[in-house]
Amino acid sequence: MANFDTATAFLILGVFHVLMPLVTWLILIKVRDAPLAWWCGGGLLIGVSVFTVSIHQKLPVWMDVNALTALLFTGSLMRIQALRVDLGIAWSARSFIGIVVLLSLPYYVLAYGLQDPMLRVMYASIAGLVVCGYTGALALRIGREEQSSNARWIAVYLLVALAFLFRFISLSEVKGTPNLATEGLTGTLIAVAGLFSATIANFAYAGLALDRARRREAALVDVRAADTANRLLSDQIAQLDRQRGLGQLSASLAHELTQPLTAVLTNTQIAQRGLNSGKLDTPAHLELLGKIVTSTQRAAQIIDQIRKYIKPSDARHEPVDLARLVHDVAELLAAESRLARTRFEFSAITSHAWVQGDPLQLSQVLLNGMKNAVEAMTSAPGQPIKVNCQRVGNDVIVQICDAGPGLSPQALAQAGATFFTTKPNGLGLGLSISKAIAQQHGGTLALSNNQPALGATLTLRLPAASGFAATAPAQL
Amino acid sequence: MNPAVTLKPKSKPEFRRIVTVADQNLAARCAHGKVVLIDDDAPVLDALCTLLEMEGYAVEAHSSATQYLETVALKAPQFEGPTCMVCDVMMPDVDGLALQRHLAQTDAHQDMPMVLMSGASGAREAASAFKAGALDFLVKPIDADALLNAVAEALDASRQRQISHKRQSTLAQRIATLSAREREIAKRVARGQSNPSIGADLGIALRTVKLHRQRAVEKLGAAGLPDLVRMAADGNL
Repeated sequence: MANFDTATAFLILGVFHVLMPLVTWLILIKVRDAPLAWWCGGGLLIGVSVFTVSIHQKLPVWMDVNALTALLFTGSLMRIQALRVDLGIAWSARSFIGIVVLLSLPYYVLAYGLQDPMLRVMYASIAGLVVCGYTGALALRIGREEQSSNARWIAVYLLVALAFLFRFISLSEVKGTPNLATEGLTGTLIAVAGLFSATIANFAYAGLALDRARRREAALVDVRAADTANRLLSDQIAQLDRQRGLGQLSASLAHELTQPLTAVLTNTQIAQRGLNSGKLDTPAHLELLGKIVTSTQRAAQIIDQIRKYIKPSDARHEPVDLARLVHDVAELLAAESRLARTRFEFSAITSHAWVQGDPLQLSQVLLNGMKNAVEAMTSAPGQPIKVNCQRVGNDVIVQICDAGPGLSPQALAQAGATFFTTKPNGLGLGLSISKAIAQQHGGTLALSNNQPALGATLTLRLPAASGFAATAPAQL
Repeated sequence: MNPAVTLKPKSKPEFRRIVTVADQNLAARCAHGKVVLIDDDAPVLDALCTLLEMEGYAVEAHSSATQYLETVALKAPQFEGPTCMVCDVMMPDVDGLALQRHLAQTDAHQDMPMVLMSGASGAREAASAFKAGALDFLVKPIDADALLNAVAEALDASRQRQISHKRQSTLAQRIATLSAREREIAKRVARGQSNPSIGADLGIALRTVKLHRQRAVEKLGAAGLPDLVRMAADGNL
């Protein structure tokens, strides 16, 4: 063993221990995170301390002692902290400092207080044993929990622990001041173990860091997939909600359609009788035919509204005139509002209120809001529902104001939460879907009670589409 | 142009007098039959109105029940003739069924049978309409023949009711002209009492009985004993 210069070995070890974490830190630039910082930082400190072991003869004793304590202990604990962060049981800043102090204090006491080099070195060996052993144990734990073979390789630290144990045992044979650099066998053992740990553990940790990065990526992909699935589901729910809404309207829609059809049938039969009896002249017949055409067009219009509303389509992104949409939806609800003995009164509605978005989704929001208003008006028959649609600054604001009973404070707080409803047959999805649509369009939807009058107001605020001039409000 | 105010205790409007040529046409139509048409949908109202007028009826078109009731409140005198009402069920404000109930309660137009129409054929609607005395319930879109048949039936019913009403009021008038004695004797005769027994019950001579009886029969205008019996029953003697 005389040929083996332990000092040189430790020198090389020190350089290694400094170089490897540095290189790792530089190379893994893309996957840098907190645990990697702890590991590499710790490795750096350990490296410097190992370096001093090799040149400690040239150092004054005080520097030697302090270097060992400060650097080695802190560095090792930093590496332990890296592993603990990975496991999720990181020490808090205060605990970390506390443990460093706890570990170093006896060493200082032995170095300066008792001034017993033997005890000091013995303590160092025990400390090294404990620290490296713990590192290895943590590594094995990570390996088990994350099923990672990389982590298990880090357990090479146990070899270092064993080497320290060996030193501790062999210290009994040493006379005078123990000096690692000159102790043949133990020095070699520790150096070799140290070399192993420097390389293997470092590579293994790099692998661990890459594993972690890959896991994060996979989680991100999962989140994105869940998001897409969510969006598809909510689109489907919105579609079903539309169909259900239309189904509920169907009775009043059927009535709405029979009116023009009645006019068509009656006028046609009048024309037939007129032709048969000769009681009507040609202008009268032409007038009848004109009325038939008008009524048929009206029926076609109603069917068109229904079709536009029910057709499933991917969300479009185009300029939409909200004012026009408000009128369309009011038409769709004409029969329903008549049944409830109310009507829509359009006040302060600009002739055009352009926003960017999907006309189908926005009409759904309006339909839900206006239908709720109609249903609220059963307690206040005869009064109108006031609907505003104006451009205010950079926004377009639609307000649907009913004179119903309004909302209780609890209902107001919970309105818009999924599956919350005050209706006996309600699903509780309409308002939450509407809110989601408003948000997707970059706007907001809010429900509030009217002050001081009775009733509630639904306010839809959307960013106005750029490039369209704001037109003056027209009284309708 | 309004006729002289009548002294009759009833609040029924006096019949309107014919003054102009237009009045003449309208009166002729009303004599054939008057239809009060109520529907809130303008094209439908217009079409039905044209159809009924083609048939020779007089049509009073309203776009809401409230409008109709306002017109009624004016108590304008009308031309004589049967009337009926054709009314849509689903309307804002007062709907057809509510109007039916209102009219039944106010007792003002029992002469006017109702035909109801609906765009949505609810069985419950129809059932309650019939229970409240509607003559017919038509589902839109309505066939012209179906409507005209229903209207003809309704006007017929109205005519019958008007006749029976008139008869009833005439009878009541005549009964009012009877003196107490005449009335009492007429009642007993209708019940089948013989003259002598009536005289015995009331304590008057047979000759007096016969005199009162003759006067009562004359005043009532009864053709014979069966007629008297019927009048007694109808007039609630």
